[in-house]
Amino acid sequence: MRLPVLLISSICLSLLFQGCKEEVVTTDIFVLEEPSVDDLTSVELDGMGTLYVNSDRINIEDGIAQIKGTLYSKVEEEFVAVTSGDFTLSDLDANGIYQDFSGYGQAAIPEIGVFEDVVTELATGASFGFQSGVDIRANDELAPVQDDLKYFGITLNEQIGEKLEFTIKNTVFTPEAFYMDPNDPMVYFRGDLGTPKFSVEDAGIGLSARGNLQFTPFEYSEELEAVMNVPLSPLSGNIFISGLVPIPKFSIAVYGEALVGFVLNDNGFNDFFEQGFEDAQYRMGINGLVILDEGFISFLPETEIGRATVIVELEEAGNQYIQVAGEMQMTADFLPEMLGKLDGGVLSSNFSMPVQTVESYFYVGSDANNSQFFIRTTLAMTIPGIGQQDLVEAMFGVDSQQIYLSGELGVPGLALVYIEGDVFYNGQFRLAGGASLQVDVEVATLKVSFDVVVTNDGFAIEAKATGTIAEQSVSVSASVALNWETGDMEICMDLPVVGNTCASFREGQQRTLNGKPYKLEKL
Amino acid sequence: MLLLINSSQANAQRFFEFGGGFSPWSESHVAGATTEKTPFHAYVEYGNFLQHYSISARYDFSSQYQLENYELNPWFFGLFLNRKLLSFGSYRYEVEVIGGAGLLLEQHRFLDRGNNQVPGYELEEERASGPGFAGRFGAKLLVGKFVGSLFLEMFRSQQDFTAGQFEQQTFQTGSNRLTLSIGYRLNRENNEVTCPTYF
Repeated sequence: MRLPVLLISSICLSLLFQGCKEEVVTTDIFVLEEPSVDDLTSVELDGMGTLYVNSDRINIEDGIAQIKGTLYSKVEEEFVAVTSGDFTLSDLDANGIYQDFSGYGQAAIPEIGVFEDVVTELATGASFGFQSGVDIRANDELAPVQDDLKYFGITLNEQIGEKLEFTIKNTVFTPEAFYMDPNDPMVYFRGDLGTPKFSVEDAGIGLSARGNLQFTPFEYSEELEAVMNVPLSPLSGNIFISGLVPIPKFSIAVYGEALVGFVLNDNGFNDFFEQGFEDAQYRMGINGLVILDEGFISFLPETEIGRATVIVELEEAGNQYIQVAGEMQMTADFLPEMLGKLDGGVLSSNFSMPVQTVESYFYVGSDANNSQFFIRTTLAMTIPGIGQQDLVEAMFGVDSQQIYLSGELGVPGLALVYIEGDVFYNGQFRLAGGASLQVDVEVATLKVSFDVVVTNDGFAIEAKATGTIAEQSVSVSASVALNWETGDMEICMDLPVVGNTCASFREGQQRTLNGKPYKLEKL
Repeated sequence: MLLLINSSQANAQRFFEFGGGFSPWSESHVAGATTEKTPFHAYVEYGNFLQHYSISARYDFSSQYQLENYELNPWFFGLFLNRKLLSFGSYRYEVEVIGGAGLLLEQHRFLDRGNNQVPGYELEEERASGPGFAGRFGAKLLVGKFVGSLFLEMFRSQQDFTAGQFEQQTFQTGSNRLTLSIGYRLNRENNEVTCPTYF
């Protein structure tokens, strides 16, 4: 009796064992899938554009789209996996554009362009939000984002001991949060950037797969831009860095926002993270604050440049240079200190500048002797025989050979005259310029022009007036020549009736009029 | 006097048994799931030597099964009714063949353990609980007050999990097992009747 019970029990149990298993469907939604190019569904996100998802991984109900799988952006006709996870798109407007995006997904760097060589380790989950460029800049004013676009705000889980880590050559990044533009793609985060070659602490770091990050230099006056060796041009690039950016090649550091680009070197992105700022070939634009120490240009004292734009060209061998434009605070002892290094003090007493903020421009080429320094300022120049004269809106340029000077000079008895020329460190100088003015009164219309030449030998003015007086055509020309050393002066005029008439004034000698002695009589 | 003797005898026939063990072979009812961790259990049992039925309570823990990137972690309390089908042997070595059935209160932790750590994901861990039932068949070997047992067991339960889909789906979260246990039986005395010997 008991044996059959045992037997039956065993058979039942065996059958149950065999028949109790059931299939279920599981999906690892955090693994980046290949796109099913023929079966993709597109979704439009406000301020971001179109993203794509495999059609079996999206479920749309009541204007809310839920995605459980991989999101793709379309970059140059290629679908690029941006992230994978569980996302909700909501606030669908009348145009079919979702206004909000949230979810949880994999934090990773899209593999395209220069990002293909980025090694991502410890890829991990992160919360995804949706933030406008304006909101991002409110917390990080240097972030390389556009106000009218929106970005994924990606925050890694704090409870994960091992954070996202990605490596470019010998540079390792471990961001805790970052922003992403999936359509470049571009990522931006804050953190330390360090290699054996260089380090930037607490930096904002933006990486663009296709070099779409933009750098726009600050604008400066036409006068300053006119003296620049190379115009300050906008730049596009792959690497954005904000913070204290070292430029070891030229012994300076800039606190601001830098963009590093590569035009000539296809592998420049990787080289940069292998070689660092010192040895890599790149071109870089920086807007920010520069402190130039005494090693930057040999004759410059240490100075601080605000609202500065720095252009560094280190990509083309034989044409490497740095340009710095910006605003500097002139101190009372800046000019004497600088001129003292250049001429041993010959000209120090000839120029004086009030304490003021001026526009400045610095250029240092491969050859340090090419260094130049310009400031746009108001200054006073002491001209022998005339005395101290103000030069208004002047450009004051310095290199190792001479001083370049231009500006509006108030010629005694005349109007402001634009002059330009060179002052050499041995005291020789030549400044030339001219001005014209229009006289328009009831009985006369005259155009008067002046040509002025000021040298260390003398002072010459040539003036010419043409026009009508009392409906009679008039043409008068005059010249004044003054010799500083002898004190001699000659004034010549071409008068309509008398003809050319010259008067000479010589120290201690008979005065002449058209070569004949004359005596002044009291009227 | 006879009643007292019977009552005393009846008390003497009751037993309590407690013990624990593990399942060297375990198989989830979810197709494709692999066993990652060995299940362990502890139990107490109450019965009567003279009757064929006993009841036992069991706490089962430490099971873990892996299904692709997901991890099933069940544990349960169970209440079993056991029927002794066959027994033979003596006090020193006795074998009992037993069949049983039970009710379970099962809890499940269903975890996403993919290549990526996703601790902030709301569905990284799905929890579910509910009833189940069980059947078992096996044998006990009693050596004095010590008990060793070997059972084939089947636990059945159903729970709903999302597992990366848009809707929840029903998982058969039970398992089949071969379970080994050791225990200690209180009140087991040598009650063998021996004939008096007169000299």
